[in-house]
Amino acid sequence: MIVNTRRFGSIEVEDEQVITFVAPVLGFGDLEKYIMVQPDEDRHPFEFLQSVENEDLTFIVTDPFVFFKDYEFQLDSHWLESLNIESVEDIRVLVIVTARSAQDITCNLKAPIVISRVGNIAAQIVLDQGKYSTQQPLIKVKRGDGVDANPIKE
Amino acid sequence: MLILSRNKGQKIMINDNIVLSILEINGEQVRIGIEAPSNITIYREEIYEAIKEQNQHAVDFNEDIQEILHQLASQKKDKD
Repeated sequence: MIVNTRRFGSIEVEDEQVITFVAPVLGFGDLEKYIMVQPDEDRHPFEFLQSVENEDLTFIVTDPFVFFKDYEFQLDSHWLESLNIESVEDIRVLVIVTARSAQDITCNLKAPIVISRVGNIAAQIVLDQGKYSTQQPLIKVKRGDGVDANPIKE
Repeated sequence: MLILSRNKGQKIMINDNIVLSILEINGEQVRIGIEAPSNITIYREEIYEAIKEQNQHAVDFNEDIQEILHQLASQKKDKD
């Protein structure tokens, strides 16, 4: 199928590559189909989560474990069920990046996106216990001397 | 809005598969138990709103962000 996007033009993807959100990205409840876009390798570990249904809508996402090695959470059993997850190998975790400027880039560790490889279904999951921030700076990590190893508490 | 008065220990049914129980009332705070099917997602409203707002900010990025990400990615690579 062809996905039209404002930022990346027309992209051809296999139907199996389309990710279906069983619980929406909050605030975007009417959109459930997305694809991952990696324009070229030098943006790694950043990728784009592009809506199939709204060509203007693109999220920047990244692998949280690249920046925060101690990042962890538990998935409630109802998520395991609704995402068909049987083992940790079945899932991929991404977080949404908010980039306001080169100095001000944060990611949302409080509401990761969990994608189940089984059927390519996904959900934005809210971690209710207050350890992680919705605006965790990514920039500080580069100075990294261990101080930021544990993400800032809210 | 439908408004119901309930006492401690009483419940509210929504359809035939969601049950809200008033577990404890302590001054300004009420503890509510919620039983619902697994496909129903339950959020604390203020957390829901914070995440929704963050998501809406996140999609509003400038096109020069490609360059910024490229820099950040290569700095990250250098550090590793």
